[in-house]
Amino acid sequence: MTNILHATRVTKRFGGLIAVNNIEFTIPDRSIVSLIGPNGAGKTTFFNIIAGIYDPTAGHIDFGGRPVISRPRRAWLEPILWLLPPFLLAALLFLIGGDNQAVELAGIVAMVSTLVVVLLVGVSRPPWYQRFLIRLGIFKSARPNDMVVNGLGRTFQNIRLFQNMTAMENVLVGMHSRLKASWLDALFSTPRDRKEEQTSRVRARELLALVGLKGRDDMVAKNLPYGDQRRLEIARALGSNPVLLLLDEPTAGMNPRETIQLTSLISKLRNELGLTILLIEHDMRVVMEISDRVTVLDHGEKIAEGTPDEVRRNPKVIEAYLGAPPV
Amino acid sequence: MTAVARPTTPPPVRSSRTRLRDWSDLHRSTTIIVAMVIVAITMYILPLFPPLTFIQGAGTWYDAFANAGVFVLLAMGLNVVIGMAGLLDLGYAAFFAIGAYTYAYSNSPYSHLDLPFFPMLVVGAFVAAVFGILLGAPTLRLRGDYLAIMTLGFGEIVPIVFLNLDQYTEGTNGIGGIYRPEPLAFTIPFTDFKVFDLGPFSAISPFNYFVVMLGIVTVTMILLYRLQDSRIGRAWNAIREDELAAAANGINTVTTKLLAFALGATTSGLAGVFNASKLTIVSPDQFLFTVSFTVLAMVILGGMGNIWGVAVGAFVVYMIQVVILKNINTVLESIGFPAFTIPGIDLHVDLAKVPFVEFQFLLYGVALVLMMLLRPEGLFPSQRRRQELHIAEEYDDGLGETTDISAVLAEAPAPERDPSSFDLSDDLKSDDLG
Repeated sequence: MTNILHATRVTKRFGGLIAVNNIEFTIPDRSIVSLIGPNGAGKTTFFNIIAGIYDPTAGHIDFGGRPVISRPRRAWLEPILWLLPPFLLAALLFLIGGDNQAVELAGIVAMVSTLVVVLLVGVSRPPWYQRFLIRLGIFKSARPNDMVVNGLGRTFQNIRLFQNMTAMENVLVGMHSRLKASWLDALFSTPRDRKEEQTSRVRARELLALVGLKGRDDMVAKNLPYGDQRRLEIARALGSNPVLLLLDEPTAGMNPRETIQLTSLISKLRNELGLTILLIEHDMRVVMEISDRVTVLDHGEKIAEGTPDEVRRNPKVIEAYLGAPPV
Repeated sequence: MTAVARPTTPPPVRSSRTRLRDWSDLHRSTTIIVAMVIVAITMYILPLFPPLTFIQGAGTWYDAFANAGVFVLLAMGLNVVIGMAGLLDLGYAAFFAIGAYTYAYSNSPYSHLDLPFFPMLVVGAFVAAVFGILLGAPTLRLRGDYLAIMTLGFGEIVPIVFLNLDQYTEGTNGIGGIYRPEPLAFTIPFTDFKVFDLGPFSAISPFNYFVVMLGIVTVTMILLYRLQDSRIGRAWNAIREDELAAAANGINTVTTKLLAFALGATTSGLAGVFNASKLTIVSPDQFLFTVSFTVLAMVILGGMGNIWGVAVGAFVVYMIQVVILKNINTVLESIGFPAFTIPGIDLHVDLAKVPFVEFQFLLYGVALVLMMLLRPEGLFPSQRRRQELHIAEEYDDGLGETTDISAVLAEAPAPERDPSSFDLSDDLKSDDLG
């Protein structure tokens, strides 16, 4: 079994606080891995590093066999790279131009257009540009949206749906990175755009049915009951066809029946859709029931790792959760 | 899941109004064209008859309509930036200026160029878009207030640059004598038959400008509606609601915001070209902060986020500002409105002599304050804005009917939730700190 994600010695500091310290972590393909630990153990920070929200202070993360996240290297070089072509052009025109007004105007136009092209490339970061940067030794971590394109979906600890959009629209936003129609397609209403819009709506309806929100497509997200909002968030994350799904406390605030339903949904996602799942969860019944492997964090450090049974019997884990045994 | 017990199939009661709305949602472009044709006919006929003829002549009315169109365009463009993508842009007049100066260069005795008007509309819009990208690319990482200050600065800088670059722009005098557009008339090949023969564009017959403006507004509106309903429009909305969640769902926030910024600038540039060709002179003092502010006020009054609402808002505000305030004194005088004295405080009031035009910005201020207090979503809000600003008043149960929330809550068992799972400090993103 290959590893879909491999984190090597990842550390994150916020000022003096070491939130995540030197963590080695792997997620095997098509497995359910849980990350547990007391509050403030650094679970969500680690999650956010994987999702591309924070750059780690040290260490790196390989996703799908490629290094995608690490501390940025030579990032200061990039703006210089952007400004270089217009400056060279200006120098060149200064040398040949003299005080000819026509050349001067043409030079300004050429400079501005070069700058615009360079900025557009720099902002949209096409793959060839990224390869070029790596050749120059410049490395920038993948941003959250790059990670989604790479195949990562996530939910949030406190629900962050688009509150005023309907359930359907929320899922469609989740599918954004997999849709091809550009803004020009939309402007001219090309057949491609219309077809894609229709197929994506069908797909969004399927996803909503999958998580158990059938028939609630047109409900505004904030009017959905709490449990449904959690599920909608999962449907939204599934919209981007992820390979790895990060769930941050998916059963928080749910009653036992809803929890059981969600647990079976998570196993279904793995068994039927072949997803790999990384789970942060406080409900030990859920964790012990569906996890293939459990990792325990405390104060930013990994204190135990193994199958649910091994972890349950580990004295360090018991200590972290219940305190040191009386001597 | 504890669902509210409700009939599985909603009763198929659909009023003719909902059916009309569904049809218009499906056929947006057709609806817009039909609506604009109706608007055009109304605007053509109304100034020919009293009571509008009492105020000013038909030609002047058409002239005012065409000028109002410029602001309608500006407001629709700013609506993309503010209403759809949620970026506060306070220097919007800068792009208006850039569009206008582009046309001034290409079509004036100053540059000895006489390029055709309609292609220049596109070129002017494109140039404005380029400057939109130049400003947006480095700054769109900023949020909220910081972006507003940046754009405010840009809006101040551009007129000053045009003012001081007198080597190219003739400074304060501006570039005058800009050529008017070539006649619309189009001769069908091999015949003498002419289509659209409305005569030349000129200051005394502004009807041509009126027709062209209607065309531009219609096309812009169709394109903007298409964008709003597309994948891009959804992405803008997602960014406006929650930028971090949008990024975590695969939206490239920087490019998407940049697109909104550039498209807003494009529309502004379009308006600038039209305005320059109509006024035949551009000078830096036409593009001061007051323009940005006026357009912003129009967007807010019209109903941020709703394209046609913003257009109507801009039209109404412009008409009040330019036609009503300007003519109110003359009208009051001509109907002999009597001056009166308020007894008790001995205040002598002669409404016919009150300089209403000078009170323009005072009236804006009062209108905005009242609007924010009474109807913060604007005159014609979009469905979404209404939901955002009136949270508990409506409970849309997805069946197309609005019900009283208290009744629904009484019927439904409260969803069980763990109070600790609610993080009130959502904006501080404390959960992200692990």
